[in-house]
Amino acid sequence: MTSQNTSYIAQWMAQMRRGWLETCLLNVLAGEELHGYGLMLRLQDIPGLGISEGSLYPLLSRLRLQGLLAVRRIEESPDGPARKIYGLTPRGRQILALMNDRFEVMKRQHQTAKKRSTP
Amino acid sequence: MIPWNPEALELFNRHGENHRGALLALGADPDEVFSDWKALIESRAAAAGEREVEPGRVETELIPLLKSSQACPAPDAPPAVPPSPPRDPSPRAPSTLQKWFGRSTAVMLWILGVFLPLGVLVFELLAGVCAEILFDPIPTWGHALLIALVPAANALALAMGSRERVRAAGTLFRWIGRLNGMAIGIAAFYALQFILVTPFAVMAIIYFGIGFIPLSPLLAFISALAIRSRLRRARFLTEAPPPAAWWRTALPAFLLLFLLAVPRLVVPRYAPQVSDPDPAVRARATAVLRVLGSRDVLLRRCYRTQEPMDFFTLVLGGSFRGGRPASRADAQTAFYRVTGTPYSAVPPPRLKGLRGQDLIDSDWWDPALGGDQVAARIKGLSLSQSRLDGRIDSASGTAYLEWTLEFHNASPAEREARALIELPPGGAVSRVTLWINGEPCEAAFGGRSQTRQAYQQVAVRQRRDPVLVTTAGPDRILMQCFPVPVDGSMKTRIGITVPLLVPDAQKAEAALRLPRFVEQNFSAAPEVQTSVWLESDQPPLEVKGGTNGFLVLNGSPYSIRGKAPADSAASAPFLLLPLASPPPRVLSRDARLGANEAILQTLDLPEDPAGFPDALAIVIDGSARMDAHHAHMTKCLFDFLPPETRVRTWIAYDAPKTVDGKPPFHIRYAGGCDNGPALVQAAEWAAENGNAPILWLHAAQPLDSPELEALRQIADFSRGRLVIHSHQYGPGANRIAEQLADLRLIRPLPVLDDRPMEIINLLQNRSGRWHREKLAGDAIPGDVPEGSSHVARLWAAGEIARLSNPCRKTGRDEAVALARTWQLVTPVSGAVVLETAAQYKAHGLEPADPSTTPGIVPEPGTLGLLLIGAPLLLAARRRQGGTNGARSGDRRQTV
Repeated sequence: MTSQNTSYIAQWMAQMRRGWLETCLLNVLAGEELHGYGLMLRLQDIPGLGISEGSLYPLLSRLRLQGLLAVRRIEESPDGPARKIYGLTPRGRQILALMNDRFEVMKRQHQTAKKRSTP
Repeated sequence: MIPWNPEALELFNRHGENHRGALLALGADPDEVFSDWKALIESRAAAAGEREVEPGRVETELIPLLKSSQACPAPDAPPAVPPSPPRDPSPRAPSTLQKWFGRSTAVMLWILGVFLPLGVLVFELLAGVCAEILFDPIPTWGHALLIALVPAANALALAMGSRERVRAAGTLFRWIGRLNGMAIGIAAFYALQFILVTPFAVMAIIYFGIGFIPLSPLLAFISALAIRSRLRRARFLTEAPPPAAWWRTALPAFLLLFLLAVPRLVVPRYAPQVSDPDPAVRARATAVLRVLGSRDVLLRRCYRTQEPMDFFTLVLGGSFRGGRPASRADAQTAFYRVTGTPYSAVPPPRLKGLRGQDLIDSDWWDPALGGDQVAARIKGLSLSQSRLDGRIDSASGTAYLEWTLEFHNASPAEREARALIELPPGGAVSRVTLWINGEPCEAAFGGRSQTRQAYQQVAVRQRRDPVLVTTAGPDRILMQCFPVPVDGSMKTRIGITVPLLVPDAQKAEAALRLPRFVEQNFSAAPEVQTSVWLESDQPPLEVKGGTNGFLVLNGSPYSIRGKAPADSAASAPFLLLPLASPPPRVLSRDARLGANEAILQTLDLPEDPAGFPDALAIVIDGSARMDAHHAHMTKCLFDFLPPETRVRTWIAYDAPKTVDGKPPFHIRYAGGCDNGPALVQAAEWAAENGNAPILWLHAAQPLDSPELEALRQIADFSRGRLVIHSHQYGPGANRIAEQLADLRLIRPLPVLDDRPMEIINLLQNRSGRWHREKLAGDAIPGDVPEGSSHVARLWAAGEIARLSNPCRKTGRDEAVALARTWQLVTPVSGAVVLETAAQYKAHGLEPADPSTTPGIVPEPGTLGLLLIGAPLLLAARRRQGGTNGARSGDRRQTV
């Protein structure tokens, strides 16, 4: 792969990741409430997602401001430092359901397009 | 959690601020993201075993975070733009200028936001300068606490200088934010209050270097706002929850101070309306002042009318006030109507600050000097001696009392001693003596205004030695003597001619109630008591009152000795004496009568002794001072008032409340109510119901009533048949009775024992009445013994009252002449002692000839009666002694 190709794919991936990252994040939080570090670990377990704290926390902040996430604080205690626990709001669950539906549609569109292009 | 190295923190902040725009573009909350990142960096440093977050750790962790954050754009954000690299990624120490500026800002905030307001608060509390010149910014300790909150809140917030302290404060940080909001509100309120003098303060600082006091609220306000900004920054550096919006605490604090300032606005507006001619306006203004007014503000207005110079009074007050400005008299009237206490009965307000001075210099100033009111007690003026001598002549139905009073003045100025004295019922002052240079000088009797004018001229203007005695309503006199010299004494004596009371004609008893003070402007120490020594031709049946009872010494005459309290709060002692049956008739002759004239006195007994009025109007004073007497009053009315009597009651509030029947059992008493309107309504009802009697139960009435002209009209048309029987609870003046004294409409019930039943008994037609008539020539009966010359004086007093009746068109001059001849103090006459013959001459007065004045020594007539009666009495006692055994050994008997 030439360096030009690599750059092109990187740019294309960046565009793809725009919505993809937050869909993954919401799906992880749909199962359980997690603090930032735990969420980071879960997301890093997803191969190829390539998320870092640098992008995770701004994303969490934005989703919270958009009303999709709720945050509750756990004060500092002997069990551990103060933490913020993230979870989905009802609106967040609705949006996530819509996202998953749309993604299924996109997957089918992709499959269809791919079949038609195959001779 | 581990602490941050200041340089690491500075580095983080700098990089963070550079990246803020990028995070905003991502749709994130930069503060929140920074907080999360800092927690992440801390946890990693802790995991690496570091004791604090070093700049190197920030470099290691933060730069990748910043770079990778761009990998997460907002869905609608434009294509990502790579973040600009930190302009100076290496830790950069603040410049010297920045350090100096940062430090000097903090120092300025400490000075202007903490030390200056605290110093000004303490200075004002100690000196009260602003309160004297502009307005009182600290009228209560509550205000002082609120003001103290400003430097306290600023100091607390400034103390949160480091992130560690903010973190250590935890949830208290929110409270510090709230306190800061309150400080902003309080400082804003006072900055506004001083806003009109702020320009002058600035000029004063520029030209004279002073003026920080009025500026301090504004400076504290600006400081509190700056501190607020620092608080927000401190919060940004930590995970501390954000402080509540400042206005959530600032606004309530501002409003609270404004509400506390409302009385200052209300008093100037409504105080003049309390004296308004319209009763509805008066009632409304009084009600408003009772709810919203301030006792302290009103009291200060009684002495000072200077308008406060604060913003709300000057700007809002101007449009709020309306009408005429409140005068001292308005404030004094309003103070009584609102509180129920005359302003003169409470100590004058003090100057602000801890100097302990009164608002007025009461060491020198006596606003009632030479007036016709007793007014406030004067510091240093006291009663040093008091003795009451008397002779009771039960055969003549009279007594003569001499009350000798000596006043001492320990104040630094000459003083006027004033006292309102309640005379025995029906009594009249017949002698007044003043000791001048150790010599007793007798008074001159003349017209009321003539004697008062002479007194004012000599006493108040020339400051010489006079004493004045005038009547002050029925059975009351006002005594005033001036000047009681500095560190000196003044001695005076008042002689009183008294008819004995016959309260119940069915009983062969006569009563004598001794005089007492009802209001005084001098103090009387408990050890200074009135020493009573009475002589009587008959042994008393009963003596009540006094400090430790009375001692009766048997003899001829009998002696009754004891002590009585000299303070106006005490009730008067009284004696019961046997009355001969049938009641005695006596003749009295006097040189002032014609050569062949005499006064015949008889006792009229009621034909229907059990009669009680068919209808009765009751007026009950609604003033606060009646509350203490409610039980006595209701017992009187509910237990002893005959059920068949038709009753209507008026509760004398500012707007009278009428009750058909007896009064309600529970009455709400408030303030000092004008009883005039209720008396008018009761009089109208009484006039419609056959001039039914009116029973007026009341506390002191220290103010004139503006409603009494209607009452005068009703009394005029009733032609003397309308009567108001009054009973006053507690000491104090009755200005309404004084206003109506010429009508003889108000008649105080001659209550002796203060029992509830006694009031009702006195309303019944049971008491005996002395009848005196002048006879001449052959009409004078020969078989009637001669009695006391006081019978003739009492006849003269009756004649004066008849001649001065306002229903008569003429007779007043005649009444004055009669009073002068008989040396009597009556509603038309007074007695005055002046110092020199020239003073008497200048005022057309002539002092009484000592040979014509009454005295305690038995008069010839009385002496004759005693000479006749003594052998008979002796014989009777011997007979009694023979029957009952030996009693003669004991001459003493305690009653």
